[in-house]
Amino acid sequence: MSFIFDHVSYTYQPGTTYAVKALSDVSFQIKDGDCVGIIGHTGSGKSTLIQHMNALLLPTEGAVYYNGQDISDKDFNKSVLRSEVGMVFQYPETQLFEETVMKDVCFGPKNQGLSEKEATLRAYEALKMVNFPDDSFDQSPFSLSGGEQRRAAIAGVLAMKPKTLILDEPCAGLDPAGRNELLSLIRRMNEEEGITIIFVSHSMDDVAETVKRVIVMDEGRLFMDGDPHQVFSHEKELEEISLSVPPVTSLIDRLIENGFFKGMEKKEGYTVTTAKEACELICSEISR
Amino acid sequence: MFRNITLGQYYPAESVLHALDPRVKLFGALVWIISIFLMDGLFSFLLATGFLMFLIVISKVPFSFMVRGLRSIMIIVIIASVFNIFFTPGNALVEVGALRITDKGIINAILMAIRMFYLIIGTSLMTLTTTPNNLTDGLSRSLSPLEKLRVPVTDIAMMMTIALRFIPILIEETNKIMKAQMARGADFDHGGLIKKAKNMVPLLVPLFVSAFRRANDLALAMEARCYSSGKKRTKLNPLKYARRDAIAYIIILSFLTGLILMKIFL
Ligand SMILES: Nc1ncnc2c1ncn2[C@@H]1O[C@H](COP(=O)(O)OP(=O)(O)OP(=O)(O)O)[C@@H](O)[C@H]1O
Ligand SMILES: [Mg+2]
Repeated sequence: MSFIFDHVSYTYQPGTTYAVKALSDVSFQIKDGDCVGIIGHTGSGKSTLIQHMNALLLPTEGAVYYNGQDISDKDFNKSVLRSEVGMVFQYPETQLFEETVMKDVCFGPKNQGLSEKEATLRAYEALKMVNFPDDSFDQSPFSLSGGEQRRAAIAGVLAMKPKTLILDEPCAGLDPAGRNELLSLIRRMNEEEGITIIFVSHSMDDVAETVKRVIVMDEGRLFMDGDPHQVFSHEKELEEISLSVPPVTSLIDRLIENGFFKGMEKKEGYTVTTAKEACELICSEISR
Repeated sequence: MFRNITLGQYYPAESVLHALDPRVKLFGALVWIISIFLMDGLFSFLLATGFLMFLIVISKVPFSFMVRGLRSIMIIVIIASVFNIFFTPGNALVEVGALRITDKGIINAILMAIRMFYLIIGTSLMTLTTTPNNLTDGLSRSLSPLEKLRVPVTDIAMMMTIALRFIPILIEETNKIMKAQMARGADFDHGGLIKKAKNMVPLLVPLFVSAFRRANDLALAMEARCYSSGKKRTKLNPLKYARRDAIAYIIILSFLTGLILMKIFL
């Protein structure tokens, strides 16, 4: 059990006129090896929520437990938490600062106390993992394109070998190839290395393709929590909170309403969420 | 980290002070600064205190909010007071080596501290009750006679507006970058002075990069909308005096006259 959120509320600048209640009474658990997507409209509290998992924010009410320890405790070791839980922020490229990409990626491992040599090795592996072009390792990060900067920044977090990886909208602004690569990297890390993934996104497609569980946030509250097939079968409810379902889901649901795929409409609380599943369904319909 | 800086921050509320024309408030702040240096006797001190308290009450800004801003100024006040205590000539009360504490020094230090606090509270009352835009508007209108002397008042006002507008953005940006580096194991709280300064590099470099990028973007966006400096501009909401502004001027002037009379006759 890695994370337990127990009736967590968070207010920015409490006690002033600028107070904003960003989370209210959120409770859920995340187990080791989970692959969780978090969706919600802008300002629904997703970024606030995930910053609790790195003890960058502490709940104003309720408690967050990491491996059974309360992160708000005075003697809770935040540096251990931060080296085990990697966090890729929204627009992570804004955190680049070193003279070369290599040095920048080494920053995290070095803070973990690794030697120069080990850090460089980690950085090399991480840059390879994100498919960063070899000949740019020693370039200034500021002379790279936006997509390359993004990769370098993500490598900076991967180099710390986190057990849990949190990504806040990592695909925003990437080209389709970059997006596919990143999503498959995320899936691979979860399936092959057992890394717990928490993935925030505005793209229902990306979420449906990547995760095994979806948490839906609305106005700082936990709106839904479940399997993507189950969550995306609630198209109406999701649309009411300015979200949508993946286009394939929408298409297959329309087709079912129009009398195709006999038998599917009886499957309450289940829907097709990816192109692959839709393809299988259509193929079996045709061959019938 | 920057939450405690209330200096120059706007506090939204509905009060007479908020509704006043910014030119009145600027004039009031100027008078207040002058009066701090006029105030030397007990009576003038009481008058000024009473006036300040009256303003704080009608501003509807919670006193605790103002005081919070004072904390960050405390160090400056303490340093200034210490200098006063040790370096004012007078009758020595305590003498340790070259350092002497004199009676005049202590009085001076206390007066100095009070003056600085009053200065800060008084001027922050103006910024707390006036939006930055209104403030620069008022400033550029008050200074507009200088345009005859070829002072680029509107440009200066525009620069101020932009600078003020960017403060909260930069604070937010700082917080964001700080969090991102902390997530990579950066430590901003521990270590000695040199170590701390070194640890600031991962924060400052991205901050400067983003500040320059923002400035560049803004300049482009302004040019794209045909902004050019030195042109005569009209306002969407021109400033207009109301009756309350006249009353406020009268109150401010009578306060100043009172202080001057006290200075002369008491
Ligand atoms: N530093 C802050 N100070 C004050 N309020 C904040 C701060 N950060 C976020 N908020 C407020 O908290 C609420 C939740 O914000 P949050 O950033 O968690 O939303 P989000 O779901 O991540 O949105 P997005 O999809 O746009 O990233 C919003 O109403 C926002 O205005
Ligand atoms: Mg966000």
